[in-house]
Amino acid sequence: MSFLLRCPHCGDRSVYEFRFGGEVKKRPDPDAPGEAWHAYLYAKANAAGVQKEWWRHQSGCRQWLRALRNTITNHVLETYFPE
Amino acid sequence: MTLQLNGRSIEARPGDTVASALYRAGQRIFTRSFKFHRPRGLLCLAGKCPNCMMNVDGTPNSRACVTPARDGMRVRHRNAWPTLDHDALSIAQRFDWLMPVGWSYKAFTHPKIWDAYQSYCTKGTLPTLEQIAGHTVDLFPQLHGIRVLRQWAGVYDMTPDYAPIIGVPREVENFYQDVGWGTYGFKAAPIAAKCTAKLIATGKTPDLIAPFSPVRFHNGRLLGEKAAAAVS
Repeated sequence: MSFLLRCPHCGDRSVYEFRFGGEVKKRPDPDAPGEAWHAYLYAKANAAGVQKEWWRHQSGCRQWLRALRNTITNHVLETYFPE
Repeated sequence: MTLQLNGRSIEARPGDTVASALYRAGQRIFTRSFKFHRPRGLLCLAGKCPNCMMNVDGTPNSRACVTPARDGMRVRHRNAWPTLDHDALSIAQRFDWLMPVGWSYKAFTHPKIWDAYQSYCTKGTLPTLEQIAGHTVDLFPQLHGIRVLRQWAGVYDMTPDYAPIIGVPREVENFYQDVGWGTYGFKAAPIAAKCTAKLIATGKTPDLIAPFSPVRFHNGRLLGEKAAAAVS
């Protein structure tokens, strides 16, 4: 379903202006074991429900932002720039 | 030596492939295509194309051009009934205007029509509908102005590098995978199965499938298979 994302800088915009950046996860330390990097890069939670994720306003202000989105309904609860 | 084409004896000489023996015997149509039952014969003669795939000694989809001929081999065509030359279902060709070449992959497997974010929502989107309608009218101008009755979307899972996974995962013992194929799985299935059988029998990974091991997601050696999968 097509939906709007509220860019904190540009306002409500079509989701097609954004690039999806994946689930928000904690990046492992550079010297963390391979398993940690494997989990970070390839293992996804694929939550059916509200998920915290990265988006980039590619066709707008080009800033990375975070969104809380329900993956079942594509309803976006909240968007904000990371601290 | 002789081989049998649908019960008819065909002479074969040493060094012949199934294809060269059939061709010498005057055979030009080898099989028929899956969708429209169009006649199919020799094209690449190098094992790269699917045009001469036949059933050889019970193995379906054998490429006749790279299958060495052996005495007593039984070769059968595919996708034709009652005979290869008089195929009732070749009437499907009359409806080819409904499905021109490339229609399915142009309309459905171009990544621009995917919503590239995780979602379980199966409602179609207007931009996707517009894109598919655009491709469709490109190919069938006569369909402009038709009305859309309904649309739907589905969930599609992909490996991160669009390549299949063949091998032994680290996490489970005595477990073998040959999964994640897409559009080209049909052609590659026989050799993938052969390699996997070799892996199971010997415990050693054949070179041909080594790059497809699931271990690539641990060591970061991903493959670039988008072109092969016709999705890029």
